[in-house]
Amino acid sequence: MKKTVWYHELGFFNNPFSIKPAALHNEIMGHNQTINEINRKIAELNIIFISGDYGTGKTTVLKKIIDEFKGRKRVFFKERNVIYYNCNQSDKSIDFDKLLINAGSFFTRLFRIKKKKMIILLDEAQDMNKKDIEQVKKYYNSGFFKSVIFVSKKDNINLIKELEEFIGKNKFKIGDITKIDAVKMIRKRIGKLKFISDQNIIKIFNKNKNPRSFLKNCEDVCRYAFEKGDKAVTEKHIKKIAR
Amino acid sequence: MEWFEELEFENNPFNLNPLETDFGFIGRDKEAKELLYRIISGNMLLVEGKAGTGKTALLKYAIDNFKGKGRVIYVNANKLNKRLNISNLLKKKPKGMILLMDNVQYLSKKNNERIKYYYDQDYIKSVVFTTTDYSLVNFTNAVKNRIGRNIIKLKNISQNNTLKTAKERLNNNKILPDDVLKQLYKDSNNIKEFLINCDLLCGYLVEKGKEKAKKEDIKKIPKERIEEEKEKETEMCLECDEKLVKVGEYWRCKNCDQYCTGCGALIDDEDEYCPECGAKFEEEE
Repeated sequence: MKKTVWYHELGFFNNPFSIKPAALHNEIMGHNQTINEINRKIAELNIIFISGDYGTGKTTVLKKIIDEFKGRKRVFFKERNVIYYNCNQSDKSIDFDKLLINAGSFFTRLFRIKKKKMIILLDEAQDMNKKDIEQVKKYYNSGFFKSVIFVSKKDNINLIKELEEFIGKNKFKIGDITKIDAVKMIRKRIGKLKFISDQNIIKIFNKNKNPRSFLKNCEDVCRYAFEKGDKAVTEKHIKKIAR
Repeated sequence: MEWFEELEFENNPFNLNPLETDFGFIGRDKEAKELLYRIISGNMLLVEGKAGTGKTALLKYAIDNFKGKGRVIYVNANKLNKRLNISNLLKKKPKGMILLMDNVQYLSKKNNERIKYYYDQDYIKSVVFTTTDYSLVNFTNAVKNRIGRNIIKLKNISQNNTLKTAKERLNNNKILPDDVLKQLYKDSNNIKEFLINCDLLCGYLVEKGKEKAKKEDIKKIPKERIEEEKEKETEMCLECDEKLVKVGEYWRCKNCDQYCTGCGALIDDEDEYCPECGAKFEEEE
């Protein structure tokens, strides 16, 4: 079977509507203000809590933060300033010592020296157990972490009181994006491609405003229109495919 | 001597294990196209279909299409240790792999989340899950959300296509005429049972020295053998090449796995009770 894929024919090498976080470029649409605010808070050495529903772009925001604060990449002396940890990676409690040692350069790793003043990003924080949370507090108080970012899909998770106090007002919720951002997001990915018009992008967006579902809808509509042999996406395609 | 050798076949044309055969599959053009597209475009996809409808055959098709590039990981979740951390399996691989996860209903919630993580970080390009029933799978909403509508539901293939499949496999040998094949199709619940029936009928015919099957011969197929064949899978242990045995719903190796003899769940040395069925273990003397 000949493997022709619609986006290859339209001149793209990869799926332009990929749902992977920051798969294609680093700019993200709609949350720029939130990100700036978050970056400022991190620079001010705070503990931050970020929540958001499925597919709204939590991990994408995190990638943006990592880019902002990651250390310079030098050969031999590769050091990191940011640790990203996904809390459902392991069944056991989190081994913070290991994370801190691995973040250092070759020599500090050799002598098992723990790196200080790290920024730690804890994704899927709702999966952390009590011991993990206690540990975070301990490491923060003793200066190993200069800034902690909890990321969770739930708005409220059971953190201990002291951490809650540290967080205070530094809570951010990542919600849906506006239709202008939606169009920008697609244009950033596909450029001025005439295959789909701005009006039709908005029509797809109105069917489902969740960013991930929106991208999936765009992909399926474009694919359907292309495989029908049509020159551009029309309302009929959107009605049939987008949900 | 096996019946197919007497009919000058090198291998059993009705071999059930799709991973061992090179037969194409008929009547699944739409599904095959969708599968390849979702893999190429980097999506998560779920294939849902009852036992014996051809889920693994569909995965085999994906393997054949991408294997030359060394880019496919095939995992049968049924044979994994439930306590295994799937990261150990995935983190040694190069980036951009395609993960084919067969029988995902046996995979734990934690492991599904880990797959999600590797997918999000682009270590895995695309994922294909198969299952007998979507409602049995331990997906979190985060994974369900990523799969979205990318679901292929496999139904039984039509009589016409089933007959075509049999003829392709028999390669112009006329031992099973159309009326017999049609009757076998009616008697079988799915393509897997159909192939078993064909296999057993051919075995009977060769044994009796008959050159062509008649409808009456179908009654001679030993019914108990059908169940036997369904259960029998020539699956080997990956570590010691010993044949696996089926315990409860799992396939286990007598040498390498330590399992509950009642339900087949894997157990640890210190376990006093089976973590799944709760049976108490007694010390061996």
